[in-house]
Parts: sequence; structure tokens; C-alpha cells
Amino acid sequence: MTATITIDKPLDEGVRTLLRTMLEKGTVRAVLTLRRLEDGGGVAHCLVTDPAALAEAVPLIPVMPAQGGQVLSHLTQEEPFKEPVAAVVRPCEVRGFVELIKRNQAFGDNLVLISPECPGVFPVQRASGDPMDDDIDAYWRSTSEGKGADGLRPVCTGCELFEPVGVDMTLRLVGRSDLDKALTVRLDTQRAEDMVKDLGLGKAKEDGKDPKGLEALRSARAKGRADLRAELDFTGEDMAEFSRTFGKCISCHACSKVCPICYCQMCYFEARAAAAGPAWWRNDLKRKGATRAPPGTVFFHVGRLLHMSISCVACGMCEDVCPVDIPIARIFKKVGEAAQEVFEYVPGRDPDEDIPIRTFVEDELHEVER
Amino acid sequence: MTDEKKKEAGYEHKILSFCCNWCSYAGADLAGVSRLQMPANFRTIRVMCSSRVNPVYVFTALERGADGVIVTGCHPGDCHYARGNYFTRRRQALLEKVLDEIGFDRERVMLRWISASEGPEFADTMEEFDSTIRSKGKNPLSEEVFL
Amino acid sequence: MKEGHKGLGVLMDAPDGPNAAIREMLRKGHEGGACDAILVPMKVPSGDSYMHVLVEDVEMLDRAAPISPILTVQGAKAVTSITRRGDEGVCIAAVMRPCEAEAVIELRKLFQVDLGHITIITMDSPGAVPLQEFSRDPEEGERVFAEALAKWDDSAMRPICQTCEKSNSAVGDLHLGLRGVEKGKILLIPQGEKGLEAIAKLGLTPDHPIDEWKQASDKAMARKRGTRKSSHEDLRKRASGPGGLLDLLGACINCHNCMRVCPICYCKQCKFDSPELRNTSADYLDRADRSGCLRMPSDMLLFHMGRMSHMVLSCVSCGACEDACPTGVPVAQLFSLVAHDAQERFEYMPGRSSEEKRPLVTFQFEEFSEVED
Ligand code: SF4
Ligand code: SF4
Ligand code: SF4
Ligand code: SF4
Ligand code: SF4
Ligand code: FES
Repeated sequence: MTATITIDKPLDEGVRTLLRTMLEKGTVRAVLTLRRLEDGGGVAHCLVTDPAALAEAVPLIPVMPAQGGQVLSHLTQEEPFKEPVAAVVRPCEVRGFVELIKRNQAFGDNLVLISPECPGVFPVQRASGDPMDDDIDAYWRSTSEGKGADGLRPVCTGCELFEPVGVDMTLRLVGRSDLDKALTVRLDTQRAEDMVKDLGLGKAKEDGKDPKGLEALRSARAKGRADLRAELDFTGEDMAEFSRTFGKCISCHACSKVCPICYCQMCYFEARAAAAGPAWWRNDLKRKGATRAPPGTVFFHVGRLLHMSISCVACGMCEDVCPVDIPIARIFKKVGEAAQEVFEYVPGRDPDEDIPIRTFVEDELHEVER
Repeated sequence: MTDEKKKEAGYEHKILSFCCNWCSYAGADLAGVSRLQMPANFRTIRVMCSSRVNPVYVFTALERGADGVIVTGCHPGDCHYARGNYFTRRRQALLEKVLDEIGFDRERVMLRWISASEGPEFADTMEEFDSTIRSKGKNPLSEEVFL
Repeated sequence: MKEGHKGLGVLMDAPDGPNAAIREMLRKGHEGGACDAILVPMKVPSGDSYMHVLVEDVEMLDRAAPISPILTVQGAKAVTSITRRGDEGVCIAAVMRPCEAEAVIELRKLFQVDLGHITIITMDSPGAVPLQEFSRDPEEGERVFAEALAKWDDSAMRPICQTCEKSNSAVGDLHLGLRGVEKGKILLIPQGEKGLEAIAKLGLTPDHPIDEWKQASDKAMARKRGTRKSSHEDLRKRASGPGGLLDLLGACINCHNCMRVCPICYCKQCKFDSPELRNTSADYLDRADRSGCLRMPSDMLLFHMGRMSHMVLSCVSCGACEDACPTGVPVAQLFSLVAHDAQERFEYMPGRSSEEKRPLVTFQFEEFSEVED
């Protein structure tokens, strides 16, 4: 049985207390958390070293202005932290980070990962100003009842991996009736237990039974996932429906730039598009009589699926930023999961597990040897 | 695309084959010097190892109008870079899955192992794939403007 | 300035609306050998957007929408993608809005397009529906645009369109006058040699005075200049003072999408996306120590200021950046404001002429003494 501590402050306040105490006692050198920006009312990940700057921290605010895994990779791409740094990130952000570690784009050393049982997030547009106020109470009420809140990003409603894995501390939120009073933190590693011991935040107790609401949310998410999958129907032989879906894509590649897995400095598809000469479109004109300009819109998406969907953690970041509302994360989640199933792979589950296309078993997959 | 167009009279389909240098390309060569009957509709790109063929290349060919793409390599265990073709197999599994999911006919791609001594097998494989693709007709992507 | 129309244009029949007439003209131009292919916005198969398509088979022109309700991929980007590596002598007629055409001309100065065989056709632009609004409800978007076009009322168009002072300027080699033109007609105005040549290939003779169109255009643009002035004043107020700019950019998530859709930001590797701006974990901690807190991804303000300093003299105020911003930052309005001031200082107008040098690649011996200490 793992241990938990209870902080007698709720939600954001509770997490702030935890982070502030760790920072003040020198348990960690810095913390990474979402924080309101004094200036414009937006929300961003902030690397905080001064406890006073935590006053504006909103670790649990339900938006994702950037993928936390990508942020952690920016921070640790060149070298690991030399001293402990705590980071509050969502489970899909943790999974994204783990995939980046596997790709040598990040170091996990000295990172103390703190992650919530994730109730989901609202679209990123809601991060600016404070248009969330009205909905936030309802959001936490639903969470304590083990129900999905209204207005979440679609991809969150079908996320079954909302309970963090591979982290040091889990913020237990789902299905808890005392959410408005206290924060329950499960200590998942020995390191976490050791750190918390000296914080004076109360003695660790044995973790209790899972609340009913947790099970309820699990089933709600399973149903949500099935619904999302049913909505996207690309069956066919000519890719017609898939191509139609991307008819309005403006090829801005925002989806790839904010994706934690698409870490490449120079994306293959951009390099190729830049290198394409007249031979490219002349060939198209000959065959089709017309061609979209710039070319390669659908190709980019299929190519990206082939490059990275095996590691797609369904974080929804891509869909959040798509200016023309293409259900891009739902598509990548669905296709990605299908590909992942072939190899029984769950991206981000375990840093020691190899990416399937970088390893093999001698006796397997004979169905593709035709 | 309409069915009549697919079966357009006189349409000559195009097949791209990737052959690994050490086995399949040698197999193709053998088929050639043995003067075995082979379809004329395929063009070959020689690669050092079947694992050099990124699935994106296969899809590139399809997007650029090829009607079918076949990847050939050494038999498992015989790859000259020891393990390349095991990776090829995984990539093929990935490619076929993705094609399935986005609704593209995955029978337009194929993976087969052919050794240097298997000239007749090479010829048979090409014959077989050729007739599959012939019966499928034109790749619907080759005339889609909005790609 | 090319002009060259000698005050005369060709009055064309447009009984079924301007789009049908332009399609007809393009078809004729193609048949008459004025061009080998046509680059024109076209409705996508799902019907919920428009994209530039390079057409050789003129039968496909039926789907073309030369005057389209939205600006999706900036037309100059489409032209770049086709001619960056040369055009192999294929003559292309490219239909686009004035701001897109201006960007093409800027990109010509930046060696990103080859205009050798391109004839640009622009039209009086009624503005464009905000892209994100259109995406959410294309039917409503079409309706809003049709109304704007019918009444020449831009109040529902993008903010940047409402303050655009060149919506009616004849930027292209051929310009299609729609305002102040007899009902059921459009006015084809040739500009420079290419324009005259194209008109000749169309078998037309410019014989219709353009005065009325010119008057209507000038009037419309004067009104817009008024709107522009007051909106710039508002924005200048909001952006000034401590934190003003940060306030305007408050919602920015530092995704750099504004840069990627900007026609002028053509660089394959943006400096602000490059490893040059990445730090080691120790450096990030140091930076955090300085103010107690470091926003991540870092350098949001540096990105905007840096981008501005790189390209704002060529900013054509097309609004593509704002259309593509996922969090509704008024980024085009901000860039357009700074562009206005900066361009004024150098008496430069991007897209005015491809012969004109960009201000920062030329100089005079005696100038700007006020910046010398
Ligand atoms: S699509 Fe491929 S090349 Fe481009 S960034 Fe993603 S993984 Fe890299
Ligand atoms: S493809 Fe989209 S959902 Fe998947 S990891 Fe990337 S950003 Fe997240
Ligand atoms: S973000 Fe949306 S519009 Fe941009 S490339 Fe991705 S799918 Fe296309
Ligand atoms: S597109 Fe918008 S959110 Fe993204 S960097 Fe530009 S201003 Fe910021
Ligand atoms: S900065 Fe914005 S408005 Fe200016 S040219 Fe670029 S996309 Fe257009
Ligand atoms: S060398 Fe033939 S498959 Fe690797």
C-alpha cells in the first residue's frame, strides 16, 4: 500500500502550499507550474524559483497552453537538472515527456513529477482573460462526483489514461467528496516519501480505498472513447473521407509544432515542400489537370501519422491550436491507438520500453509478409 | 472516382518496387538474365537494405500516382545488416495499419522476402502483384486535386 | 508605379455576378493563349473552405471562386510554392486579393518568387470573413460575405480588413474594378506592359474610362483611412505604457503560428525557432532566478519583437497571422500598426513596385540625422 498525505487546503491552494513548502525548505531548486501572468491574464507554464511568485500559480487550472512534456524537454534537452526540480504536469504531458526521453530530447533526472488524476481541460482559448470563472465550480463539482465536466476538449472526454503513471506524487482528485476542503497527495516513490517527511505537512498515512467516483469516471471515459471512435469513419479504399476532412487545412503546421512528439528541428515535410520544384506541380497538372498550392497538405498529415502516431499520447494539444477546427487530435488518437495496439505499446507507460519501430521480435507479424 | 474511369480502357498501371541490394535486387537480376517472363509495368529502386525504405517513401509514391508499391528484402535472418528486415516488417505493419485506419486500400502495398537465388520467385511475385494491381485499376489518389 | 492604363479599362458583362464573369474571362484567356495555367481560389470538396488551386484543365474552373469569402493560405505563399524554384516558362494567371499580390511583390524582392511568367489579377476586395468564424459555421460565413459584397459594407469583415487602405488599389497586372461600376458589369483595368499584353491576348481593347471606379475607390479608401487612424490610435494607447504590449499579447501561447502563416516570414528555419534560442537547464534556472519566475516556452516577447524587426517593413497587413492565431491575439492589428509607422518613416509601401528597394537594403548618404548622436 502506498502512502498519502493530506494538505488541509483545497485544489490550487493545496498544490501551492505543497510547492511553496518544497521551495522554501530547499527540497527542490525550482518548480514548474501553470501560472497566471500578471500582465495579460493569460496562463503559461512558469519555472518558479521564488516562493513569492507562486502566489499567482494555478497548477490545476483546466487548460493546456503548451504541452508540459514539450516544456520539460526545452528545459532539459541539453543536460539534466543537477538539483531536484518539481513539475506539476498532467498525465498525458508526463507520457509525452517520457516519449521525448526515449527520443533523447529530454532528461528525467532530478525531476520530481507531480501529476493529478486528470478531470480533463477546457479548450486553450479559455486561458486568456478569465472566462472560466463561471464554469470552474461546476468543473470541480463534477470531478468530485466522478463525472466528466461540460465543455471539455473532446479528446479529453475519451481519455482513459487520466490516472498518472511513472510519477512521484499523484494528486488524488477524482471522486473525492472533500475536494473543497483538502488535497490528498499520494506518494508514489520512495523519493517522494523522503522529501515529504521533512516538509511538516503532516504524517503520511496509508492510502485509502479508491472512491466510487474514480470507477465511475473510468467507465465514463471508456464510453467517451468509444463515442469518439464511432464519430470518425474513414473506412473505404480511396481515402476520400480522410482527404475531405483536411480540405480546409491551411497547412500552418501548428498541429505539429505544438505536438510533444514532433520534436524535429526541421520537419521532413517542410524541408521537402521547400525543395519541391516545378517538376512536382507539372507532374500533378499532367495527371489531374489541377493541383492544390501549396501542395502536400494531406500528404503531410499521413506522413505525420506514419512518423509519430505510434507515440501519440492523445494530449489534444494539436486540436487546441488548429485554427480551422479540424478534429486532429481525435484523428491522431484513433489512428495512433490502432497502430499502438499492433505492438501492444502504450506510449509514455515506461521509459525503459523501446519505441516499437526501434525494436523487434524475431518471430512476429507474419501476416505482413505476403 | 467512377468505376468506368478506374477500368479506363488502355490504362497502364504503374508499380514501384523497392529492392534491397543484396538479395532481392540480385534475385531480380537473376530473373532477368534467366529471361523469365515478367510484367513491364514496374520500376525498381535499389536500396541498400529493405529497412532503408521509410513508410513515408511508400506513401509518397502512392500520392504521386503509383498504383502499387512493393518492398522486397532478404529473408529474415539473412539481412546483410543482420537485423534490418525485422525493422522493415514492423514498419510495414505500421504502414498497413495506418492505411487501414485512414481508409486507403492497403492491398496496394506489399512486402515480400526474396533471396538472391530466387529468380523465379521474383518473377512470380511481380506477376502476382501486377495482376492484383491491374485488377484494382487506377489509384484513386492519382486524380485527387485536393491532396 | 506601373499604371499604363491611360485611364481606360474594359467594361465586361457580369450578368451572373463577378465570380462567373471572372471565370469566363479566365477561360477565354486560357483558350486565347494568354496563360497556360491559372492559380485561383477554389471551393474545397467538403464545401467548407477555399484553397488556391493551380488549374490547367479549364473545365475545373467551374468550382473556382475568384472572390472568395475567406483568406486561407495567403496567396503569396501559393505563388512561392510554385515558382520558388523557377517556373519553367509556364505562364500562370494568378487571381488574388490586393494584399496577397503585394506580398507576392515583396517576396519577389526577397527572391522567393519568380514573376517572369506570372500575370497577377487582383480585384476590389470587400474584405474577408474571419477564418475561425467561417470554419465554425461556413453557411453563415457565406451569407455574411455575400451581404458584405452586395452592400460593400465591411463591418462584419476581419478587423484588419476594416482598416485596409488598399482594398481597392490596382496592385495586379490586371485589376478588376467592382465598385462604382455599372450594375451587372465589371471593369477590367490593365496595369503596365503585362496587363496590356494580357488584355490584347484576350482580344479586348481598353476603351472605357475608369474615372467613376477611381472616384468610388478613392472615396472608399479615404473612409477606411479614417477608420484606420482611429483604430490605430486606440491600439497605440493600449500598447503603450508599462505592460501595455504584454497586455495585448497576454493570450499568446508562443506557438509561432503567426509567423508560419505570414507570407513575408518565408525563412525555412526561423531564428526564433532555432537552437540558438534554447538554453541549458542551468541557464534556464539562472534566468528564472532573475525575476523569480520564467515563463515557458521562453522568449515570447523576444519572438514578437524580433519578428517585427525582421519583417515589419514588408508587412502588407493581410491579417493571415491573426486569422491563424489560436488564442485570438490581435497580432495583425499590432503588426499593421507598427508597419504603418515604420513604413511611413521610410516612405516605403510594400508591394507598391517590385523595382523599389526594401528600405534596409538601401540608403542615402544624407538621411535620418536625428538618430545620430
Ligand atoms: S512530422 Fe515527422 S519530421 Fe515532421 S516534426 Fe513530426 S516527426 Fe518530425
Ligand atoms: S498528435 Fe496531437 S494528441 Fe497526439 S501527441 Fe501530438 S499533439 Fe498530442
Ligand atoms: S493546425 Fe489545423 S490547419 Fe494547421 S496544419 Fe494542422 S490540421 Fe492543418
Ligand atoms: S499565433 Fe497567436 S498564440 Fe501563437 S505565437 Fe502568434 S500571437 Fe502567440
Ligand atoms: S505580419 Fe501578419 S499582417 Fe503582416 S504580412 Fe505577416 S501575416 Fe500579413
Ligand atoms: S540487406 Fe536485404 S533486407 Fe537488409
